[in-house]
Amino acid sequence: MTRDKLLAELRALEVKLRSPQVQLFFQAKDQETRARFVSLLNVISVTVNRLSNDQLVGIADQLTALDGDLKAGIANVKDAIKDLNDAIAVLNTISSILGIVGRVVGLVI
Amino acid sequence: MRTHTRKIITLVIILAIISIGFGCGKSQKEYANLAQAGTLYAAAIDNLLIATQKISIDTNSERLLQDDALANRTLADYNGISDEDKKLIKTIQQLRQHVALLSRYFGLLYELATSDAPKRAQDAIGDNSKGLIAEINNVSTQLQGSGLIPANFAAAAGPIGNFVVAGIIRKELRNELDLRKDTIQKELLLQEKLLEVLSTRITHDLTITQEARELRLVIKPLIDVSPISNPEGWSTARRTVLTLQLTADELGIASTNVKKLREAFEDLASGKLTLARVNALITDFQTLLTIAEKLKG
Repeated sequence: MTRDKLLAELRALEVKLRSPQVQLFFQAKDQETRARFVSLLNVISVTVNRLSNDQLVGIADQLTALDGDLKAGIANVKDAIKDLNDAIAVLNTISSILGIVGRVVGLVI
Repeated sequence: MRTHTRKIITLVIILAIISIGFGCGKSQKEYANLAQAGTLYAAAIDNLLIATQKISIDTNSERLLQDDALANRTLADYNGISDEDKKLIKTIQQLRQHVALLSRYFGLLYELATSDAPKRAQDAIGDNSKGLIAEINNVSTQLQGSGLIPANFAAAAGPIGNFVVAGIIRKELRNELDLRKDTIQKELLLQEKLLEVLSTRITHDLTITQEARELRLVIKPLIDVSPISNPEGWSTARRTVLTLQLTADELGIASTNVKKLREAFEDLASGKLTLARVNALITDFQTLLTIAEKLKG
């Protein structure tokens, strides 16, 4: 049985054991029976938690392995935006310089 | 004069061809909307991660309370459950850091795709009355008595600049997505799995919480020999408990949409993606975001 299948079965079992019907049934039993039932239920709940967390940890580790590529993509797109802004800034600067040159030439000629 | 005009027309055609080559047919709007869909997805998954953490911890509290009602609990019992909560908090933090990167990536793609650089380039190049062209002509007129750039070219230069810069942007977007296509595919396959795992986990946790609260807040006060002391409060609690799972059901339906995002990126690369599909994705992820926000409460 795979871990995913085991988790699915334990979850289904936990839902049954935590249902109001089953809980009320055990509430009417003696203390020792109730303690044994709760111990079993606790093992199931902890195992459900553990397997659920393992699933997430597995995915989180695989996603984190892609962080480097995403960071490279972020840097690449940032550079593209900066290059575009720089190119337009250069055009504006040339325009301003030519404006000054024009005024100087006008004064000299 | 006719030769001169022909040269200008030829230049405009060459620039247009270059620009179309840069963009490879896809409009900036498609890239922008796809990046917006990605950003919305990242926001939805981030909210869902917060919701998972909250629901999971609350469910474990309900488990502990339910067990304690039947038999006294020990510190070891408590730690067994709490240690798993702490592990979950750590993993959720790790996942949220990754989702923040994903969100930043899609956000920058959107910024590039919706850049006003083409318009700014057009303004910077200008025409006979403003911008670079006007200044060149002004200097030229002062030096040699006439403008260097003819009027008809000056009128076309700004719009050509706009067109070429838009083409450069499309080329940058296409190149980036080509470069990152394997990573994006892996990322979205893992996101499909993540969403499925979160959806199943939330559904289970809410089922357990619903059962425990129904017993604790609704059934036990009702079957107790004394009448319910606060009927209004009891009625509200009953409604809240019974509708607890509705949002989880919606999540189950909405969580299949991440597959559509992966397919959209694949189709973008092969040129099969349409704007209508991208817009439908945006709507889907807005729905997912709303559900995730509701679950986060």
